[in-house]
Amino acid sequence: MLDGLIHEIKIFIIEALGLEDVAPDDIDQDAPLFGDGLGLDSIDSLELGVGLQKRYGLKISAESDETRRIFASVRALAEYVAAHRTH
Amino acid sequence: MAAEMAAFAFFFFYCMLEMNLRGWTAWMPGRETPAAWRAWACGAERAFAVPAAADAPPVREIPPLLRRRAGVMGRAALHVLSRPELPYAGQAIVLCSRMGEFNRSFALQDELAREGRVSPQQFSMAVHNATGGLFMMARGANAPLSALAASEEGALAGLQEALAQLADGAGAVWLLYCEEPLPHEYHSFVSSREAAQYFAFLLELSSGDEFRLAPGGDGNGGAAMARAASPLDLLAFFLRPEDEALCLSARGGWVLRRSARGRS
Repeated sequence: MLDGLIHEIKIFIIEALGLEDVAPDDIDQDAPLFGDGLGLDSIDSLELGVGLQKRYGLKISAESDETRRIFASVRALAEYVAAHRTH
Repeated sequence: MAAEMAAFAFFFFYCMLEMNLRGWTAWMPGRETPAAWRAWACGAERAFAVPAAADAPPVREIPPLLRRRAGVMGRAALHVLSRPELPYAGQAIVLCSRMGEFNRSFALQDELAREGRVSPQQFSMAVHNATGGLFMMARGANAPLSALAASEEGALAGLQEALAQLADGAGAVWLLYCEEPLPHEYHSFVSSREAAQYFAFLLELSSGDEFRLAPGGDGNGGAAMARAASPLDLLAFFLRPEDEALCLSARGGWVLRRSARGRS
């Protein structure tokens, strides 16, 4: 179940952020999304926040420790989506 | 009277700006080689067919994480900024575009009206100097970057800014012009031919006296035009060695002249 959502979220990230030349298998589900991992920046985090709200009905605060945990990796994000999605 | 003449001489002296053209590169859909651009410049009819859609240049010189945010016009600009035949060495850049990536701003406004919120990524790129910023980030450069939007006199404004920087001591300045077609909702408001096509071209200007920009265009060598010279008129002028002068302002205020050295 979670594996399917992880794959779905990888595709969502690639499409939402326009990651050229990146395939779902290129994204390590346990690697950090920001900084050293995929190399995403703060604008990407805002873009993902808006995208997650549209797609899964999630409201994520821009500034909180919880946000850091949610965006720690694709797996952490998938677990949060599975637990809190409203659609 | 003498005082007026002295004031005019003072104004003229300090408004005279000079340059050499050290290099150029240009791109538009279907016109990508120097030979094709020279043929266009020397042709009697310089009109373009408007492409229905344009494939952006791949811009492999810019890292994917940076280039992903550029639109078609932005990629065209990054393409001409990244040509190996015109290598970047820390020159100041003057980016001149009448409308910039206006399609992006228009889509943002539409999104805001429909959904009440906008894409942060698109919003971050909806400023006039965003494309130049991507290039500077890719090169790790900290040179001055100016972004101008000067309505129908953009060709003049860009040249004035670049030449003023040369006069202020810059060894070389990169002057970039780029545009893209406007959304069809705006077509009834614009008359400029350039508002209807994708193009980007880059001029490397350096100090020298092959070309001289100065006020005073009325009655001098037939330089006056019914409209201000567009950026593509400026490029054509540089590519046609037989052209002696180009009027850059509809009011006849500023003329770019080619010296004998500029004809070689």
